[in-house]
Formats: sequence, structure tokens, C-alpha cells
Amino acid sequence: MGDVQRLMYVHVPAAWTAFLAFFLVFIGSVLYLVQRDQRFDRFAAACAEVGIVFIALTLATGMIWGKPTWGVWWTWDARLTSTALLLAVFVGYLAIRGFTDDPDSRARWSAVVGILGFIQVPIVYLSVVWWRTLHQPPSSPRSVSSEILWTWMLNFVAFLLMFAYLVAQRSRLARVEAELEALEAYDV
Amino acid sequence: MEYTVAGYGLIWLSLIVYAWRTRRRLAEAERQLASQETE
Repeated sequence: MGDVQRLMYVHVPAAWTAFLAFFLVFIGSVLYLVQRDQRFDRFAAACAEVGIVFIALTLATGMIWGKPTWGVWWTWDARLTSTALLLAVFVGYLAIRGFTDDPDSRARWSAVVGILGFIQVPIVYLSVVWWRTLHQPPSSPRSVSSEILWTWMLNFVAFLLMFAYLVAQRSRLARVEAELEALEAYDV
Repeated sequence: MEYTVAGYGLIWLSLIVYAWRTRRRLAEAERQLASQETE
């Protein structure tokens, strides 16, 4: 595989970070539906937006790796297709948020999509087990060397720090936007 | 080599641009909020 295998050191941790982001969307959505607290909705929306960035980067680095390795940028393989669908679901999640100005209705519909959208994560993970694919099966500590595993873990920690920073900034932005929305509604 | 550079470049550039854009959106929203509150 040569030098291009180094892309796996960012591709795999980016995918793990995106899965974590969508898991947090699921948690935030469930908590919103249980407690009806807008803070959970804002947290879920922040995680969804940052998760989209990481899943798009997972797809992009996979494509850049695929060209010299498989000879194509893209193929309708089960793992690639299900990951693209995961990206589309969460882009839809953000689109739905723009459909209504009512914060409660927006949060309720987003929470439903956030919970249903998370179902796609185990489908992506298990797609390489369920179907015959070009993409390799899931890696485990038994199937990769400890050097590769430690590099993945190190980059995962780096991405987690970046993820935490981005979600904190994005949540703060959502809070300020909510305050602005409330002020505008008060003026009307 | 060029594919590896392109991949790493894309990942870090995208994250930096997204972080910068989010900070800019936040600064703009905070400015708007401050001006609305003083009105």
C-alpha cells in the first residue's frame, strides 16, 4: 500500500469521532424529549453539525485513499454507501431545523430525526459484516499491530479535543442565537 | 505521497476553517445580541 496507508491514521479516528458525535446527538435528543429542556436540543444540534464535518472528512479521506489503492474515487460498496447515507441523514437533521421558527416544534422534530438517524451508525459499522464489500472488515486489536492501534488512539484523542472545542463553540453560538430569537419574538 | 499530503491537508484545513467560521459566527451573534440589548 505504501505511503498512502498513512491516511488510515486520520481516516479511522475521524470515523470514530463522527460516530461519537452522532451518539451524543442521540443522547441529547432523548434527554430533550424526556425533559423538554432547550439546552439538550442545542447540544444535540451542535454535535450534529460537528459530526457532519467529521463524517464528511471520513468519506473524503477514504476517497483519497481509494483512488491509488482501489483505482477509483468512489464505488457503491455497502460501507461507503451507508456512510454517505449517514451524512445525508444528518444534513437532513440540520435542514429540518430551518423549517420552523418555533423552538419547541423545531427541537421536537429534530430530536425524532436525531434518534432515528443514530440507527444508521450501527448499520454503517456492521455493513462490512452483513454484506460482501470492497471495504475491509472492522479492525480490532487482534487484526492490527500495536503501533497502528496506538497511533489511532493518539489521533483519536487529538480529534476528541478538537471535537470538544468545536461543540463548545457551536453550543455557545446556539445559546446566543436562541437569546436573539427570544428578543426578536419579544419585540414582535 | 501526494494523496497522503492531500488527505492530511484537507483534514486539518477543513477543521481550522470550520473552527474559524464558527468563532466568526459566534462573534457576530454576540455583537448583535449586545446591540439589541442596548436598544
